[in-house]
Amino acid sequence: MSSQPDVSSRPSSGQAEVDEILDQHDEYKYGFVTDMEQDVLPPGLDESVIRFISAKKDEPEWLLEWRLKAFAAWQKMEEPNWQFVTYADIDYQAISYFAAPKKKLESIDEVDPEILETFEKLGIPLHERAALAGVAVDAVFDSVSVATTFKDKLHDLGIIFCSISEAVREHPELVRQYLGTVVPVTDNYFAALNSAVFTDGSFVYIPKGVKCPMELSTYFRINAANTGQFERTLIIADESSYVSYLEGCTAPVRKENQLHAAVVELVAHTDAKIKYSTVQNWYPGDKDGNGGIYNFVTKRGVCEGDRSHISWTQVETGSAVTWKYPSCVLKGENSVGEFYSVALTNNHQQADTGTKMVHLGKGTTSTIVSKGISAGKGQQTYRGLVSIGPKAHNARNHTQCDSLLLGKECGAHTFPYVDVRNASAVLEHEASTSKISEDQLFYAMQRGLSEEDAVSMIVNGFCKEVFKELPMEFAVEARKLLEVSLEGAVG
Amino acid sequence: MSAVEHFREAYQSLAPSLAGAELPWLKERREAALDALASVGFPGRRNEDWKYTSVRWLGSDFAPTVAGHDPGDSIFVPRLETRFDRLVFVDGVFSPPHSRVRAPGITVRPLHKVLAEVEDRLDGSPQLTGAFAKLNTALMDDGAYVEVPSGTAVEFPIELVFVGTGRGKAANVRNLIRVGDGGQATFFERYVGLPGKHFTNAITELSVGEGARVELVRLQKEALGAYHVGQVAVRQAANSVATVRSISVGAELARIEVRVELEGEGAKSDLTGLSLGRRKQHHDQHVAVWHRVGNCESVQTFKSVLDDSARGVFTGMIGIASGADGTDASQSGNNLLLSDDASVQTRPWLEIHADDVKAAHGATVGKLDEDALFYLRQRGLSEKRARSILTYAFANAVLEGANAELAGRLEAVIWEWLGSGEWK
Repeated sequence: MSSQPDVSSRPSSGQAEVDEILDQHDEYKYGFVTDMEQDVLPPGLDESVIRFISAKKDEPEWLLEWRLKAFAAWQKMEEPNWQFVTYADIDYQAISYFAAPKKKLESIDEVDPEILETFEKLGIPLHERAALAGVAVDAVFDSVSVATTFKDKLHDLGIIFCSISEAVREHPELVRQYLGTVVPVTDNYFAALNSAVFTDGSFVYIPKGVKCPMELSTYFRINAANTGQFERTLIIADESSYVSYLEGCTAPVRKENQLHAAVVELVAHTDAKIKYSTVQNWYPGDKDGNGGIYNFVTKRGVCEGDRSHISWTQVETGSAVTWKYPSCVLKGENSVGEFYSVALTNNHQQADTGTKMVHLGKGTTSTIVSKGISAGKGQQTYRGLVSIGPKAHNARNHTQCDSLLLGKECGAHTFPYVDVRNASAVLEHEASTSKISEDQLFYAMQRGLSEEDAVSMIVNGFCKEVFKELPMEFAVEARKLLEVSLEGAVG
Repeated sequence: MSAVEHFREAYQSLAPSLAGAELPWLKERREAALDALASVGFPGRRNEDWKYTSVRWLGSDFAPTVAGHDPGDSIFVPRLETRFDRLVFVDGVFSPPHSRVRAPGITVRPLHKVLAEVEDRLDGSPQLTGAFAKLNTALMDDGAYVEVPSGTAVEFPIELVFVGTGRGKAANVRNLIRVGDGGQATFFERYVGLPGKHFTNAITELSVGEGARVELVRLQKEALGAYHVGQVAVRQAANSVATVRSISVGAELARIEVRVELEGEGAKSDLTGLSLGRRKQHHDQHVAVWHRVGNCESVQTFKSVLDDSARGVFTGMIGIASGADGTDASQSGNNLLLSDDASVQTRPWLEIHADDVKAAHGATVGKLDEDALFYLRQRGLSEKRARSILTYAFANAVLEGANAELAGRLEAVIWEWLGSGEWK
């Protein structure tokens, strides 16, 4: 797959080039980004806010009604409390649901030195650092023309890859056909809220028989720089198509809003495959557990057609509280669902994550590999459901959940649910909990590794099965990311 | 009328005749339990612990039994063959003609006779927090009281038999068992019944002293119309060994909870369970072990075999508290589905707050191995016999290491269920 874009192998430019690019920033001052900055809603949520958002985005009537329906449902719902995480109450009336994008920094010199140091450790190419730190991302990317080139190429193949707002304008029939079919507006509290107030996100449509030649990433979609706290993603892979989608990046991201409630919907038709990879490294709060992002996300894919395939891979190292279950509904015969996850909690971080595999069609198979690493005072929970419906003859599932504990005060919990209603199903669930043994450490250190390197080597070995599912350059970064995130957890 | 209101009314009319009515502390405790029940209510589907088991059948049909009101002598209770010491209760009411106690040096009595002495021990188990525990405290009238003094080894199993008569009664049974330091004893707690509908709500509080060895075999073999909610709350002191086997065969719906608190270092807990389900039966086995201190060991081995449109639920929890280093805990849940309409829900859970521990669990759901079936068929066994043997081999594992006196009887229960006679 040589034609794929490669984040790390793009020609790296020196600081001088970055400066030059940043100097050109003026040209972009009157671009679409500035347009939006004039509109800010005061905090609060009622119907008028939703009408405002919808009007602002010039949405058709049906979408406004859809939002209002979601809002009405949300008002009747109660915030769930069964999860194994605790966080301060969220005041939904204190949030501004239509805020101007974060003000761009003028140059890389304004970036927090701590973040720059992390970039260095992660080995992020110089010209990307500015973009990641929030320095006028559009300028950077346009200058190297990566995004534009890609867009042309995708367009030639008939692939639609744009913001969801653009999709609503340009391809309303597609959006209307699929939006909310995988995650209904009433699915859960946060999905309902998202449906009512989402402001942006990505839309992907891969036509029949097309194999997307490159990994799609929000990274390359210029106006995705600030997707806001209520992101909405919809990916449709038509018959016999293939797409690999990357969400997030390894660089630390300082989001402004504490609550992030995104919804991601995937639809795979007959013989189609969607591979969705996430690396999440949002602000986890300080060492004493103050601040940090609440990452409450609903992600679900439907394997609609026979032999369709959806694969979720996630590396979750950031956020104060992570609470998400990327799931697969396996409707088509012989369809396949996969979930590979590495979640790391350090200091006071909490994560309650896992997956749901809902087998409805004959011969459906699913694989779950979850690796949880808990350090400091981190609390880590795997929670998952494997459900085999009465018609899912010969369904097959294998689940493996392993936890690694680093320290006396952390916790690792496993709450799987298995629901089988067909005798021909074969399921296995395995889980283990362990710590790094003195013997392992001694062995590695005896061979000249420092304690920190030894631990990081062992942790990487522990996560290997998941990392091998990541696109190559992502995997390299993910490995380094674990090292950085574990700093201070050893010794 | 809701079930909660029904039982409150029943309490109001029965209060003067309930066992221990003259004890102020007990009256206070019963009323507090009723208030707690009224505030939490019986669990619904949104209660995570009861997600897969409905209690809608509870309604207001069942009349709580009290010794003074219902002697239960008008019903014929078949003679139960046994060589063991035993206490027999009919619809929760002690039946002297069926009972006998001969073992020297131990106390085996109906609870209602000793209530005045057990203020500290009744409800002494921290696990008894749910709605059915509250109902039991409010309305319990009798049960077995067993005290095995320190250093005493009881040779034969002590049998506790509970007969439901199928006449719409609600038997709130409470058993209090204590085995002193270094003591040894085996208990066979079994629930049987005559055809018809009744509700058993049984709690066994078992306290195991330092270095003591206890085996409790709990057989639920009620008649098919019965509803059975049972709880076993175990507290183990240092270096004790407790084995609890929960076998659920009868009843329309059975929910059995085994909850163990490991409170002293070096304790070992071996918990096994077997559900055999047929027709529309619903078996829910719930087991939770909490390692409160370090260097304890626990093993959970649970199996279910489900035929027709029977439903099996298994929830297994291993909890390891902060500081409980050196814990070794394992859990396995294996389920065998013999029919397309049978279903199983299984939740193998771990909650771990310490790092120097070993904890593992495994769960499987599947059908009989076709290769193994083929192998047996090839050796001339009928299909039915071959299936029975394989199913028996699957189920039998929960009897491993069982008291020899009881193992044979439990094996017979499995063969009887398989309906194919003993394999010779």
